Amino acid sequence: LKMTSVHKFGQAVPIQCHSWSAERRSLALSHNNNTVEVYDQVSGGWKLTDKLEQHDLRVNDIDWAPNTNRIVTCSADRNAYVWVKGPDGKWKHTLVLLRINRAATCVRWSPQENKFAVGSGARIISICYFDQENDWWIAKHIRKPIRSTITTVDWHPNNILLAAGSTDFKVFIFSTYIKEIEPKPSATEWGAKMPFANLMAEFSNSPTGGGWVHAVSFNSEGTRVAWVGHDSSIAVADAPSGMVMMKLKTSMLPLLTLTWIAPNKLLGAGHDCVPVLFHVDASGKVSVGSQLEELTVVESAASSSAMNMFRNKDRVGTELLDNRLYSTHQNQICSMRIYSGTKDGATAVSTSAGDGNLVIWDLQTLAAKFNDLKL
Amino acid sequence: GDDAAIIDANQINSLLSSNKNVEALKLFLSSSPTGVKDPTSKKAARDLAFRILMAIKTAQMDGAISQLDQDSLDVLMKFIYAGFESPYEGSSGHLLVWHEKVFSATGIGSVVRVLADKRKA
Repeated sequence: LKMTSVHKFGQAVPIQCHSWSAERRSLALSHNNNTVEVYDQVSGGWKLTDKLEQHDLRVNDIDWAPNTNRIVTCSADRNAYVWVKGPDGKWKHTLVLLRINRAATCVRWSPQENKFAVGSGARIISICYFDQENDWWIAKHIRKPIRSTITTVDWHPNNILLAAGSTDFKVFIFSTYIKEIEPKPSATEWGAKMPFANLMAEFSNSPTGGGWVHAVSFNSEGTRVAWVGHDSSIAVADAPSGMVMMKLKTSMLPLLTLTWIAPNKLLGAGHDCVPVLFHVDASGKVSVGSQLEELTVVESAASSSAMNMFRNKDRVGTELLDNRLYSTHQNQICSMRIYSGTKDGATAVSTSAGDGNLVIWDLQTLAAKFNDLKL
Repeated sequence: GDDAAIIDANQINSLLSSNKNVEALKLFLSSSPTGVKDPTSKKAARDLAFRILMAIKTAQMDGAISQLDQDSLDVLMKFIYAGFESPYEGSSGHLLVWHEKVFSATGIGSVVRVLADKRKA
């Protein structure tokens, strides 16, 4: 069994975002432009089956709901579209008026798929739900106390609470309770009162101010929220312990994406181009684990000495620089999804990166090599 | 929390005069020296940092670094870069050695934090 499989989709253009269909037989992705491409798995590779072309500007995020099979996309054009596959096999789109005057940055379906949340540069989170009576999607706004662009959102399993990360170095937990479509939620470790847009908790990534929050992730129980920041840090906040936040400053380049893969394990990835494992102990303390690839540099004897470097410079006129990274991904990983399993026990994850590749990491096979991956 | 600076310059100078240079460094770094806001005090903090860093000999650096925690190392890296930014006479070579040694303890993370943190040295 292979530890990783690399998938290419046309030219080597960065894949900004990707999302899988329920059975993982189809994949929606965007190549850093205003189009979403849908690929179906066929023997020996992938077949481009659809192009979702409605956005005017770059598509920033895609989310494919596993049960209702609806795709939601959001873009720098300040819009979101919900795509539904008709009986003829064609994707039919519905515009969602987000009522924002800046780019939409991120989007996620709620666990029950009757709502989705869109973060934006308008300092607003739009919570969208379908109004049967008028046959359209309605967006309700969460504004206070957001003072900067929302970069990432993730849902609590109760379909009500939403975690959001921002470029003002903060992580918020909001209530998105919409009385028109759902029953009143019961109390959680994050609090009891949940009127729409109520701020349940707020965390600062850095008291000295620093590090845009790039990704947030609730654990499968919803008792903890983890995030990564541009100050090369990863942090976990634990509600049951009284909202205690534990932060780890890493020795790596910043991480851009993360997900829980077990109750006590996080997988992060970003500018170092390799997924990294993190352990979270019972008290919420985070420690770094294995990188999912051993980056051994095989130096040829001829190239290693300084003298040879200058000799080559003299002879060829330029430095013989090998720009290839020793990792599978050749550029920063910007998006990571659970491919099989759940946040409670993921068995494989997929990563898409600036090199235009999508890599699937088989965590069970990798656990044979990196012991601390064992669940 | 948002610490304001509480640099005890007298105590630090006293430690430097009794050749307790590593103690001076530890005290300086734990005084939230990046919390200084006004330009005059900021310059004074940088001057003090420079004096401490120059006082510690190359052979003493590894020992000093091993006594510092992650947060202190991040602050130290900020002052090293501040020293590169506004160099004092004859300091760059010594600062480069400091940089190399702190870097091997912290990795590129501390350099990222020099750039990402709003509070600068």
